[in-house]
Amino acid sequence: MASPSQAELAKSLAMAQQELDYRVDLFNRMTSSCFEKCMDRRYKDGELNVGEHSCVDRCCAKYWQVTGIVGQMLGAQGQGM
Amino acid sequence: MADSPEEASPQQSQPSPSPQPTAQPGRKTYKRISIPTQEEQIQEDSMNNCAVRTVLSGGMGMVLGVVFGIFMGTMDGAGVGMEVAGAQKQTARQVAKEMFLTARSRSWTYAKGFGAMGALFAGSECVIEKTRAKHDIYNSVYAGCFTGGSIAYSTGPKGMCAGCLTFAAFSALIDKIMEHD
Repeated sequence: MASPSQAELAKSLAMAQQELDYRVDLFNRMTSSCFEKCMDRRYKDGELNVGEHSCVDRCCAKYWQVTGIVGQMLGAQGQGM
Repeated sequence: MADSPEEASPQQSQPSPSPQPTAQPGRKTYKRISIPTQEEQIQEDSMNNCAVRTVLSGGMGMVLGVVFGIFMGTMDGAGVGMEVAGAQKQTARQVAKEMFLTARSRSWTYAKGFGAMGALFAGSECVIEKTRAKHDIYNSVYAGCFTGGSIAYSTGPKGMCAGCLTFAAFSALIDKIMEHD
């Protein structure tokens, strides 16, 4: 197997960069939405309480699930076209 | 947001034109926030576990019950001892023994009651808060209702209703007081 050419290397590097950008964006969106939804804004305590814990847990699970579903649907749409 | 940790540790921040002293009077210093270690996470998770909370609160309730029972039992025993002492002479030793016995039985009764109450309340509150995923006054209200109803189980439906309402109101009041400060 021949070693990849310079152009191929650059292309895969750009793809990896795009992928990582997308991941970071997804993570930031998830974090901010779940923070908005779940956190008590009075900040009485340094730690999360039980309610906030379970809220964050569910919020992230739901966000992740929906992202997966949307990705699958988009993929199916792309294949159908 | 990022200001407070930097203020707490000036040696890590950039050298400012007028360096401030580490401990300034009348100024609160904050602990630097760091990522919790494995042990800290395990500890926090176990503290958020409902079973652990139930057992801990039950134990604390029992301790409180024992203390309360010793106090009340000694008072009762002293009263009985004095009454009897008027009718027939009782030695100090006998009085002390009687006091000890009443205190012991009393504290056991109180410990059972307080322990059950603490365990029921903490367990139900934890479960309710986990399912509701909210932290507000209704957690204690519902948990108080459940606890009061469970304790009054032997008195029938009417008693259970009354227990539920009373305990719910009481715990809501306590929660309000605790929230305020």
